[in-house]
Amino acid sequence: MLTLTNPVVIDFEFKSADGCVPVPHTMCAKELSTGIVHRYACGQLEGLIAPPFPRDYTLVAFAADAELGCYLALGWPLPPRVIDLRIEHMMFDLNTAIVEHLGANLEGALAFYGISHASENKKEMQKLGGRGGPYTPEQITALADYCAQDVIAEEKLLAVLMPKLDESSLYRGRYMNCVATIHHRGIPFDVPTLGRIKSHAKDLKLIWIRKFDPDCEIFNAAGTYKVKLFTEYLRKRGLLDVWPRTPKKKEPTTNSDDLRGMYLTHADNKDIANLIELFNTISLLDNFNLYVGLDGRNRVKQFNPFGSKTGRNQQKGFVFGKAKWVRSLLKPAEGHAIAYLDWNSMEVGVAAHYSQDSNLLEAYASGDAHMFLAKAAKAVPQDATKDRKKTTYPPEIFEQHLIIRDQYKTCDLAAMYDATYIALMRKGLTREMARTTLRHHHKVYSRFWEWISDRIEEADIRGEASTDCGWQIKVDAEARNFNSRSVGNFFIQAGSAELMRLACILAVEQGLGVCAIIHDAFLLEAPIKDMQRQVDALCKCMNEACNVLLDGFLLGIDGWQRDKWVVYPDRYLDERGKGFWVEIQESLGLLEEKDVIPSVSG
Amino acid sequence: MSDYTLTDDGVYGTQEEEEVEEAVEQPKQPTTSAVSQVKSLKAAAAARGIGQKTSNVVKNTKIKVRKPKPFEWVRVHPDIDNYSIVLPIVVFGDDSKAEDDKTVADKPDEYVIHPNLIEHPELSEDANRQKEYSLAVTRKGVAFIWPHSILDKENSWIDSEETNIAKARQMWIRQISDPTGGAYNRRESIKSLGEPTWPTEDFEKLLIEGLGDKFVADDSHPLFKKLCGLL
Repeated sequence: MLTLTNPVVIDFEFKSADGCVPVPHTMCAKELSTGIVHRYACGQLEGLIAPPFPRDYTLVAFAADAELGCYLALGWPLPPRVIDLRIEHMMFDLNTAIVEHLGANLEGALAFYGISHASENKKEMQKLGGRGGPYTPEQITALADYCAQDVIAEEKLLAVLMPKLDESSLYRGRYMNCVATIHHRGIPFDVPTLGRIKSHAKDLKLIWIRKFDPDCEIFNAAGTYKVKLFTEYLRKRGLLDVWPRTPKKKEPTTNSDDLRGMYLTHADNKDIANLIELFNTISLLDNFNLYVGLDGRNRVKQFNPFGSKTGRNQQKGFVFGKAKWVRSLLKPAEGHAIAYLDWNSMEVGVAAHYSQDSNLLEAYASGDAHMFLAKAAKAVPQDATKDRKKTTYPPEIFEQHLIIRDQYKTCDLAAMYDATYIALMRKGLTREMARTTLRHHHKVYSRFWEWISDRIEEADIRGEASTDCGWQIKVDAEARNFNSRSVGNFFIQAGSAELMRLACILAVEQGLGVCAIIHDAFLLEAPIKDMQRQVDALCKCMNEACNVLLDGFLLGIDGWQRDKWVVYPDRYLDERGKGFWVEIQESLGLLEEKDVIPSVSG
Repeated sequence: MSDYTLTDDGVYGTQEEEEVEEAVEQPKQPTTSAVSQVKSLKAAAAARGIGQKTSNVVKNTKIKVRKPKPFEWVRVHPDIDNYSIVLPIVVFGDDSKAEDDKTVADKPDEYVIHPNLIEHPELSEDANRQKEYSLAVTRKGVAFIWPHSILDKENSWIDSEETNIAKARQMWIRQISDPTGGAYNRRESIKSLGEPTWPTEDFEKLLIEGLGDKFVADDSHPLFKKLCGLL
């Protein structure tokens, strides 16, 4: 069992607004070793340059990233150790099916353990604290009392979770310090352009509808999407049978995730490509949930660290989760540069190392695992390449190679989750392609498949699947919702998440300007004159994480090259969203010149 | 450090300020490097057998009567005479769903009848089906009893499973259901996974343990009351 050094349970009330750093105004902390309680009501935190307890302590909080965000807002040094009760509860309890309905909040956690805790007017108090001052003396007292109530609740939760905690809990807490730091830093953003797009979102939407659907075959004259019209549109073009459906009503879908696979199988059909672009952009313009703080920095609505079962972050309102062209809003501040450093085919590399499948290791070493599989299946010639500069084939044959590579890429990634051929069909492959690519995957990477089944079997026997760093899920093959694919997927995804975590800790603790964690990448920001040093240092951290967690098996890193940095006054440009970005800018320009009167029926 | 409570005027005093200055003289930073911390966690995980390429974990729990899970490599004992047995069964509940569509809740109550009771007059009408029970073991050494329905007409689920069981007597296999094809597929191991370790206990003892209260050994079993409508 873990021994905590001077545990201090702490809770803040703070003014909060999407995209902004918190503005803490009330705090309660209890030193569990001595029983001393520190209460700071509204107005009393100002001028306090550090927490009012001994320097060697362990911060205990529920959703500690919020508390740590308050530390940073106050300019306090981050605590040497952190225990986040929410993360621990999520890992130990929420990952089992029986308690999912309780949610991941403090009340749910207490209810799970049968702990009664009276907290009157909780929602009202949360709202009051979140809006910020000014407060009446009665409200100040009420907020201080409410804050103290939460500390009592968290102390109770700590007591029941304590027997389950171990050294890995402190490691997860250490990561929370980094999460708070990254969130506090925020992402440099082109706020004026965001404002222009948002203020014209409705008009832009109508322009795009008119551009792609001039005859109102999908959207009615008022610009409203009509499923009946769209069904008829697809039927007329012979696309109705191949178009993905909604799960319940079985109607043609417009969901961007469902449509992603259509790109692969119908890359040569411009109708489909245009429709997908249209739906993705309309969806974004309808719900432009990107948040920018008063400091002009973009921040996610929720960082949600360890939010997935595999321990990955599940960030909400994240710029990297939107259409690709939106990334062009990322723009370094004057005198600064940004770089997007990502690991090459991370999951493939992790799977290759873990399974020690010689073919998978060779595939990864080839630099293009997906083309490797296509070649092994003899679907493309042995000298096929994805590099336009290196190919010796005519453009039309080269494009064909890219399409086949993409099909094998879909298979490669899905196969890591032990996907069936039916799942591959849902991703857009035909039945024959799905069967063929999967068959080849099993044949070429047989050792990998043995390793996966080995791990699932072992997890079932142990009743848990766990990473080297202690992140775990409960496994019960007898449970009704047991899914062996999900367990198989855990080892690669959670292993990859551990790599990200360690590299992130190493980077943030040495003060590098990491301002976002993307699935397999970091966004780094630094003054131009310091950029080379920071890029080198981040690469070193990423390599060090591989050294420790993959026993020296180094994954390739991309984005470190100087010509890939984005230097002020340039903006980030994703090749896949470049065309759309240009068109959006043109439309915006037209709108602003009032040369266009948006009207679908026009 | 003193206990702090909110004063009436809502302002904290000099005493606390002085204490804070003292507290922040040298902010404590993590003394252990993240790399050392991870190495230590990794060593602890390795000591528990996590992430190792091979494992000797053996689950010493009660033997179960069940089908193999799709991810399990399994063998069936090659000695059919001593480690397989065909027994009559009595089924209560809806058994009409296709084999692979059944959920736990759908599973009907199934009672296995001791051979000595086959001629019992109360069972003559109900014990009209049979199942074969075979001793099987997973690659991790977990023994279980694999039940297999016997039917005198064609059924793609049952027929494919029969083939799989026969194959598993010779080699390691995985049985994977294919709802689209309406049958069990089989994956055969490409390389040798070694010989299985069989339980030393007598098969009859294992079978009785596995079936538990579903095994009807004499007419005092509650099944008889159920058949007469008394339960």
